[in-house]
Amino acid sequence: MIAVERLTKSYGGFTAVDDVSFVCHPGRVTGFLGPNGAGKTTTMRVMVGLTPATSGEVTIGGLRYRDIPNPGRHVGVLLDASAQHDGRSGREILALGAQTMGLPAARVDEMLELVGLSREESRRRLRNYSLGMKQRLGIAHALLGDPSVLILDEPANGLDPAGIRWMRGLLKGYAARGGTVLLSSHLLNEVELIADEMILIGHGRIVAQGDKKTLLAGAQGAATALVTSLDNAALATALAQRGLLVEPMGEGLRVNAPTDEVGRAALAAGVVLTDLRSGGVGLEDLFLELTSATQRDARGAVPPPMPHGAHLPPVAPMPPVDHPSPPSHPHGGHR
Amino acid sequence: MSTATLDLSGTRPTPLRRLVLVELRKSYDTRAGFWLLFTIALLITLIELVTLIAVNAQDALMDFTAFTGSVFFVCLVLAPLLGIMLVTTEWSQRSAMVTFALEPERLKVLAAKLVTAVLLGLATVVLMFAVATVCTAICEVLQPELTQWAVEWQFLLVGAPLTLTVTMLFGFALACLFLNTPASIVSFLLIWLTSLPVLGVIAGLIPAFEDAVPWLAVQINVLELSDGFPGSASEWGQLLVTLLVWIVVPLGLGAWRILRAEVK
Repeated sequence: MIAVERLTKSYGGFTAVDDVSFVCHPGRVTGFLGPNGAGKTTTMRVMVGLTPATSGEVTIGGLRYRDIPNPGRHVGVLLDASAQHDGRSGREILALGAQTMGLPAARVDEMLELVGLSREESRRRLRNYSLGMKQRLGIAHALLGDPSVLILDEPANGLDPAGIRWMRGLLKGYAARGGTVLLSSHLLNEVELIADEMILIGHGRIVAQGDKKTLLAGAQGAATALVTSLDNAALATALAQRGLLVEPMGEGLRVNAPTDEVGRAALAAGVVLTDLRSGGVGLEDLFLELTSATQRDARGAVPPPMPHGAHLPPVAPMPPVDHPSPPSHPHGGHR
Repeated sequence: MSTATLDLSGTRPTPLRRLVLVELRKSYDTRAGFWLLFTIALLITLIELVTLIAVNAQDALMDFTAFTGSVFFVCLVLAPLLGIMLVTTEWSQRSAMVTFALEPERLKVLAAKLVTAVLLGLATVVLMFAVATVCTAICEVLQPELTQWAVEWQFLLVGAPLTLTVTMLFGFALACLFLNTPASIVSFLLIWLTSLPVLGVIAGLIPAFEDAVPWLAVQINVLELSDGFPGSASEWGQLLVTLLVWIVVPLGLGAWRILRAEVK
């Protein structure tokens, strides 16, 4: 397991990681989520000793990374798939890794097969690799030593949809066998599908953490309903009178309220509903909201970052009507 | 593997020998690395072959050591490029991230690179003498009465390997200090080839500096090693001060920099 304790990293006056604490458990995939520049990569670099911490500590299985003998056999690391000599073939890069870790050369072929790089592709030089191929190679490199802990920074970056699905299966299976997985992403959808637990980071601080249910339960205020009726105009008026935010969406309306409240309003107004479903709070809304303090394109009022480790407040501030959030995922939209 | 702690029973720290083998492999497994090695080997061979042809064309007297005369100075300049590249390509190609993730003991990686650099340097000396042996043998066949072996064992076994190792360490130290290929190569060549005239000019401007020149003239002090270790105490002193200033200090600063660097 990975334990991050009160980790702080500052560069001069700028604090990239600010008093961050969390734990990644074996058998679970932990998603590390935050916008660009939130401090995800810095945190992960500190974990593997590439960046010295200003204060605080990270231990993996109770040890500091530098105290782990032959760490590649215990911790698989992918921080930047492009950070390899671009004149080496993919196969050679894996062979160097295998040799450093003292693994048999056959392990290279196993890993190439696992990540779906063909014999011919593996002989090409890295500079001729697409981003997706580099990413597959990086995952192969991380898995070389059959580690029990995986630390992957933006592993899905550049993978095609089939590749992302493959990686999801791979990491879920890995965690199911007892491995500890920490992966970062700035894309919520990626993490939402794979992570058992999520850590949201913005502006170097953790703004929320927990499993998906806990996070959503804490975000009631951001619940939305999608509703269609025989008289949308009347319904919109009725909802607006109750002080709810309503906006047209497709055939119907999007309301910033739970479905039961919309149902009551329709009943009172005598409007026939033809469709009413939860708009899914979107984790996306939640994500944007929690991290908007650091979103480069954020607009409107933003909540201050929570103190570290704090869960969500019972009522999160509602996004403004013109909030640029894209439509949230329809309920049950992904299987 | 579902426990919260790592099972370390099956792993031991990576031995230095394995890291050296990895570094050796890195020196030739890229096109740039391979061609650099190839070019150095080719130049050494060609220069000695040219000597062989010239000698035979002119019916001149020849011995074994004469073959290595001029090529040795070329080796002293070319071989350190290998040591420099071992260090700087990790930074220019950013592969240091992976190297240090697999071996967080950075000084151990540096030590492995240093050993590799010295081995590569010694390999160029071996090649130089091997080609000289072949050339002398050919010479003896073609013009037996003009050819002598007259092997200078002191130079072969001590002087040449020692001098080349020192210049290799000099280049290596600068590479650690700059972590940048062009800066390291240029400064290596400049200091090696021009430090004496530059020191002379400074001494001309500041007469008090004149006494310091013999203590800082890296090329002279190092080249004297090709005749073996210094004979007098003052020569020893000048050699050690030179090594301290041009190798130990940059290597120490470079190692400190590498240890503290945020590897990106």
